[in-house]
Amino acid sequence: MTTAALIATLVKIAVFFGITISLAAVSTLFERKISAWIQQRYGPNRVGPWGVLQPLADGLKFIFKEEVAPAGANRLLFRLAPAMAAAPAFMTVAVVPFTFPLILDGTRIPMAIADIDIGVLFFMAMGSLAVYGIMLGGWASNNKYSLLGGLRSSAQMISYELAMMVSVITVLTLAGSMNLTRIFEAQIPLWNIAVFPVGTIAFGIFLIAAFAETNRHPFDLAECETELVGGFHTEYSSMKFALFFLGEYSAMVMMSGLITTFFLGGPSLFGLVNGIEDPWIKVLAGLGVFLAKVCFFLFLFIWVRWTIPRFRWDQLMHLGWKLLLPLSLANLLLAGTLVATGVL
Amino acid sequence: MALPVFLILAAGAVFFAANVVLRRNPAECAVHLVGSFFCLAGIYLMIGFPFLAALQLLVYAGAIMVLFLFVIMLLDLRREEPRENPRISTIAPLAMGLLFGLLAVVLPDMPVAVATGRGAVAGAGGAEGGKELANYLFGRHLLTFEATSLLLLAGIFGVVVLAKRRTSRKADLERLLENIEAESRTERKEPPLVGAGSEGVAS
Amino acid sequence: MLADYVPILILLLVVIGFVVFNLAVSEILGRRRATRGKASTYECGIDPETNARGRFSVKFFLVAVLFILFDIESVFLIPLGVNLKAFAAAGAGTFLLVEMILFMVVLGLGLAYIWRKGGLEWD
Repeated sequence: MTTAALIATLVKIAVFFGITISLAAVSTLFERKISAWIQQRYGPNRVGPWGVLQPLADGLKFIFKEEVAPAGANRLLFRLAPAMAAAPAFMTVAVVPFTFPLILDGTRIPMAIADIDIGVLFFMAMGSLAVYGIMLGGWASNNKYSLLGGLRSSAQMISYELAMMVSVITVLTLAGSMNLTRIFEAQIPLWNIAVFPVGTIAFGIFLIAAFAETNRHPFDLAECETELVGGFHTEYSSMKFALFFLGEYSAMVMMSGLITTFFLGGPSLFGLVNGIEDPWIKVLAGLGVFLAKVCFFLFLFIWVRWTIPRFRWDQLMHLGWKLLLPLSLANLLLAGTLVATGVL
Repeated sequence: MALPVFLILAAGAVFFAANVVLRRNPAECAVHLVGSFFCLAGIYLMIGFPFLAALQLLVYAGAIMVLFLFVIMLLDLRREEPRENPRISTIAPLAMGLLFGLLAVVLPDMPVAVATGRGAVAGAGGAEGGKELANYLFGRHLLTFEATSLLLLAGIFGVVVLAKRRTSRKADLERLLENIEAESRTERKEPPLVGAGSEGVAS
Repeated sequence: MLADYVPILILLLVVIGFVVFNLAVSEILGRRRATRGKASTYECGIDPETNARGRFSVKFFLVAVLFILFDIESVFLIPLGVNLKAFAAAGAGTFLLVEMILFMVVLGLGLAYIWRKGGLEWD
């Protein structure tokens, strides 16, 4: 690895990881602001104008809060669980292309931290590891609510992971590549969401599964407050709780980014951005378009939370196994047939 | 650059694997096994099998270990009781040593299978999106690939037969009542939990 | 080619550093005053009875095993799907498609079997 490549990598990590963390922090504020707006309240408005400094204040508060671990907890796993919950979401940042590749003097610098050819597999692997933090957190707390919440949540996550994987394979079939940059580049003429019917159905399945994977409403049975208090993080406090929280919001940001890349053409905007001559302006405009799409999905995540009631457990499992999984498999078969016969 | 990274990964794999055996708490063992899988995935990556590395994480760490943890959570395996069984503790290491010796003798004689599969698996991470792997798997070993689906089907039948034993509601209820009774009997013998006094309520 | 993966290693180090830093800072700076009440398990103010780690429905086990089986199926479908376009361009699209249909029909039968047997019901 040359020094220039190393510097480029470090800059990319600083920018993209920074964007993800800040977006996650800002969404915690917007979650409260939007919920207040939907419920005709004010929301946080004391720390700074319009409450903009609230995430910062929360972070500081979390640091100085007392850590409490229940007496029967397993010390090693109790500490490890928040880290294992947050890390997979952070690691997914590695493969997401935030904008168009930068072309300087003929060299192409891809705008994902690691532009690897098995990018989609990496995302799937990280997604399948996200379940550990929740399982271990629930188990190590030695609390009935935590254990039930962890068990439910992990069963839910693995159930929806299947439908999500199959819908991603549909995208791979359409694109013919596992490299995320190439996947969005293949969509510049036509976004996958508009490839009717296979792309549209895959988008719907991925979106629903994304809600379930991030344990968001209407699938947040892990912590349905009325029956399980806080679910798997009932016993967590201080920064350990904050890491669970940050992990959830980072996962939301990442899911939004991946939906954008898989179905909405990533940073492309009807060929407008793609046609820009100046390499730097093209990269910045692409980043802007990408982040705008991500913010739309973040808003959708929050909007749904404050609008739709929660599923019941059996409804949730039936939806995953009896509707989404068979539908996604049939959709993949259809996509395969269309691609193999040369229609798409 | 490559050698120190390999040494770290190899040492990590051995350390985690040793902990799987040495730790008493089954959940901790499971987590250490995940750590060992991570190190192995790193080694696969280093020898040029990125596809295999991703699958190692996806299937072993992401699916099979989740099942293990589920079973641990379901069965209330809090602490493994230390058992004294002198016969097993002498036979087991001997058997393991024998098996390892056998492997060491047999493995160098199997370069054929390794060589043909190697190129295909290594190509799976390449720019072509794993064309070689696809040719190998779906062309040359077409029948094996289709047989895999039958194997998975057999797995599905097996688990349904095991987990979905037909029982009448009445029998279920009786078993539940029995369990509750048995539990309440054992509870009385257990000492109270730490900090479970009345004072916990007052605050 | 291996150089493509070095950024992931660097990011892994950054993430581990970030997580450990956060946990360590609050362990050091956060105040601590342990009492018996705080150390007890939270159960909505009621004294905890029995250990939390009890036994659970075997259904969860069923879900996990079925997950593994279908997970492996999807893993096989990944190289198939990715290469379908290239094979179709080379004129072998139908061949690969028939393989894919056979493979998925067998597993579809499996799914139908579980469905019929009530393995997907939560009652």
